[in-house]
Amino acid sequence: MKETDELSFDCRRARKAIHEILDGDKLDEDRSLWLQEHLPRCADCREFDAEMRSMQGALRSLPVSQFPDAALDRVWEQTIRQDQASPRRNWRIDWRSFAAAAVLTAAAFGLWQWNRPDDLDERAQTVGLIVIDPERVRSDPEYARQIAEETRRVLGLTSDALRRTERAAFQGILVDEVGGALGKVPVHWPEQDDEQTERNRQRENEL
Amino acid sequence: MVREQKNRVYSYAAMLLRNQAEAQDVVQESMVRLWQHQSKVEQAGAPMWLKRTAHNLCIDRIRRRKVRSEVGTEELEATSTDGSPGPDRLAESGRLGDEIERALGQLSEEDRSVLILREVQERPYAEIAELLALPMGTLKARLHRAREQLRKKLIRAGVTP
Repeated sequence: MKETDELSFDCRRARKAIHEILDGDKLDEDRSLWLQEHLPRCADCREFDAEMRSMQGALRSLPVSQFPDAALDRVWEQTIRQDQASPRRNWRIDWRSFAAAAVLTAAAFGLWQWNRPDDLDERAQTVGLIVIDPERVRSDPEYARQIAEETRRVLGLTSDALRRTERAAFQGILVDEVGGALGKVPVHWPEQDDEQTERNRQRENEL
Repeated sequence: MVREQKNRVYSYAAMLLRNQAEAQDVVQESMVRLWQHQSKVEQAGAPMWLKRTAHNLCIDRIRRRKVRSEVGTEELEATSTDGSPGPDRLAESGRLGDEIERALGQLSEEDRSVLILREVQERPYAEIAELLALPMGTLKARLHRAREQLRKKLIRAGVTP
């Protein structure tokens, strides 16, 4: 077997073409004809061609290994276990924390919008009551009832505040943005002849 | 997707690592990583993500082996060249595949990976180029070199392909 650097120019050219055929490429007509002429004259390249084809066939017929079912089961176990252990899942289950957070958010929003000075005491009471003690809710029915009542009241205030905010935003948009934008729209009046302009001026003076 | 790809990825890892237990570990780890990154991986790109992860894990293991010791590879090379059966015996016993696998194991991991993907698994060139992050010209040049290296190994081992 000759090393590549011992090969003639023609043999190197032939082997390059053989590789391209093995790659699945189609040789152009000139190169294909040239190779067909070279191979009968060169035993080394004929041998190379035959061995490469045989080797490719053998490689393609190597069996595909089967990933064991037991190994796949271990993957499922690992992924399911990780999913169950993830804090995201625990967070979904803990609906009480979610409900408490929602009420606190609603209360904060309500207080933010609630700007009547005479309600200061009431606001303070709301802040005091809305800090919920979950243990006491479970053990003290009266406390639970108070919490429910206060929560309803805060949600009602929040709803009012939202309506006020919506109205204010709508007015803001209408007056500031739409009005401002309309002011910037260029208005082109139709051109008037001098006679018409003079008549308009006289009419304005009469008025 | 996992069921479709598992055998192909496992075969690739087993041939590249030449060790089935390590290949199982690599495929399991790749699948678990895919699961962990499911929110970042698009469904259409998942097979390539899985293959690339498995390939990178294989290359990491091969490099760690080299750092630890060259002895294992040398032993494998020695066993493959000593007392290899001749072409006639191979043809009779149908063990050409075994000899080819042994010769593949003696190639560099670069040559081995490209031969496994193209010649054994018949993957499209575009997919191999993407997986190995190689330009098409470099990929084909590497494939041609790898074929010639494999042929040389087989001839030296007394096996006529």
